[in-house]
Amino acid sequence: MSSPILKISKLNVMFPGLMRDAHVLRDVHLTVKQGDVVGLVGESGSGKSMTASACLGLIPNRGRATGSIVLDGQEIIGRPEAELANIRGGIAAMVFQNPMRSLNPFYSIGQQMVEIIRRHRKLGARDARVAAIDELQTVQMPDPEIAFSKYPHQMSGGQIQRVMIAIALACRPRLLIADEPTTALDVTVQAQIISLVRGLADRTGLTVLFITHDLGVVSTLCNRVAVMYAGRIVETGDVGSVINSPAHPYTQRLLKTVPIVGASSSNLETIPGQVPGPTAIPLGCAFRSRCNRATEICSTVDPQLKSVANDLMVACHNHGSAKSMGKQIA
Amino acid sequence: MTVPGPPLLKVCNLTKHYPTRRGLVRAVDGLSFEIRRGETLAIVGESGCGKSTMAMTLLGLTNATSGSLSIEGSVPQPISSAVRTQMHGNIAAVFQNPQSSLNPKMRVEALVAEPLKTALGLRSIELRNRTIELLADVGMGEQHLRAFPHKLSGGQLQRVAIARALALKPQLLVLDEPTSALDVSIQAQTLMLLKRLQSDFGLSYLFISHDLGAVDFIADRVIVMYLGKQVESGNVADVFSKPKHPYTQALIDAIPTINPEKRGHFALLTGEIPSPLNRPVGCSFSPRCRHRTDVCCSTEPGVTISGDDRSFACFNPIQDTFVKSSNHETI
Repeated sequence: MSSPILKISKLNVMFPGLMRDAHVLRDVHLTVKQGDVVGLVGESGSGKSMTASACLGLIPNRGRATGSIVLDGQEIIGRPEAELANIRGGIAAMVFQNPMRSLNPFYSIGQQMVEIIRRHRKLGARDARVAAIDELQTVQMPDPEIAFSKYPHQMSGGQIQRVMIAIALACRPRLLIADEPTTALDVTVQAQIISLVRGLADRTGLTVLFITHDLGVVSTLCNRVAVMYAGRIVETGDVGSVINSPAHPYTQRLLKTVPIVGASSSNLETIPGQVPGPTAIPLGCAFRSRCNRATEICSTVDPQLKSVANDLMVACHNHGSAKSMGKQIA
Repeated sequence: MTVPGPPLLKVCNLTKHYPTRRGLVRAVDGLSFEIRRGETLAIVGESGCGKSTMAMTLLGLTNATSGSLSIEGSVPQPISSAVRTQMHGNIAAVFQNPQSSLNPKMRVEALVAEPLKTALGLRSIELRNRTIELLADVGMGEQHLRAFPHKLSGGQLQRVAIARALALKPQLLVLDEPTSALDVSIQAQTLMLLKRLQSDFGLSYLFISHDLGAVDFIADRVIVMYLGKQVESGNVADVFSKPKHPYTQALIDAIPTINPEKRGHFALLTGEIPSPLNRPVGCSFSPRCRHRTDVCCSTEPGVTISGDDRSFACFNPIQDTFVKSSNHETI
């Protein structure tokens, strides 16, 4: 078994507030092994982006993180900013949701790529240029030489996202963190980017932490998945088990709320109620008020993530496949 | 359910051109369609295909360059004047992002009451009762009346936006990506709400979306647009199960499916939508199309009508591999 590239244990992120503190992440555990493509899914506010930011030490100023994030053998929590700068981009690189806002509009694609390559790899200007064009080729950019001298506004969203991935990969990171990289893109372009990332993972053994709210993207791209709810991972395992036979009631119902082309159903399952905000996490299980399987213990004891089957971990007192729980659901 | 009789709205040759310094942008180019009473017509396509521009011309937010509009079988009139004189109060819109379409300084009560006050002249107790009634229609209660938008979640805000749109009892609701900004579990709630409101009030919907799953769930008929033109239209079940146009097929194939057994099975479309300033000669889709032949690169395909409301604009439509008699009727 290969050693994990990323090991998050007992990660808590809290933002102190005047009235109430916001508990954005609560005891997050996540392990990403070499060569894994892990999907981190959840609704907005579930803490998936915060988890990603925390891995690079990018928690906003007032936030307080406790616990441990070990990235390629180095502890991130509490590490000084100067050392983090080498880890960011060097060991783990990140691609953000809106590529248009991630690049500086005043510099050409090439200038921005060369700057980052030279920051992390000891290359001269000319070699850096060659490396940059090489990297643009890797992400299947049409006419990489021409793209090198273009400015961000001359490119489409899909092309810029390719550039962002090229920049991220240019410094040979051990881990690529992609935060909703396809959400701002059209479906046909999204399909291109997904197939690009899948291809890179297959060919080069790239390890990816892919953050998304789209369960379809997860099952197309990833081989492992972690589902987040209200600042905590509620279910994690390999994609096949989680998508085909989810054990947490939230995952089960989330999968049913997605309208599917050709399903020709006249009814969509809805999850009543709202995700509790980070300032008002209830006692016990956070999903309790929306759960149709809640029992007494759910209102007092917050369930911990525990292994329930081979390679499947769930944080629920009444977990189980939908079939075996048929009576209670009815 | 679709109600028989003349269509609520019949649009012919809707065109919206924007002259720019670098040439003419044909945002919408000769779009014709009808919306029947009680039906949901969906417009799908990627960004830049002109679906929102089309909706804006119907809402009177921008003037159409040309085209005619006939309402409930009346004599066709130029779109921009018909919208001003006849559509007033009969059409309302719900936009993608409720955070930006609702005034953050107004309470829910004021937001919903605004159209009732200004257009219907309701006052005091009458106004309050109707406001509460509208909020109840969208599943919200009196406890939300005093709330400001920032206190509500995205799904609740979208409900307020829908309540506002329903205030003047319109016959047609334009829904411009109403669920795109919402989380999946809230998307489902909103789609169910829209479906219920439609059957309660006999509304017609023009549902604009790029989410084919949502379209399949809510719409009766669908128009697929590419670069300002209609490339395929028909009954939703037919179009999605047996697409004729290669672009429709590509859109369906590009949806990442939840079924892990099907993973990696999508046929990739190469390239991206060309700039509307730099339209390819012949069929606009030809540079990305794998069914392309010589004629596609020189001549623009006309619209072929193939029975049951079905039409497509392609020289080499995808052949139906199934037995023709298996054509199933929905609606």
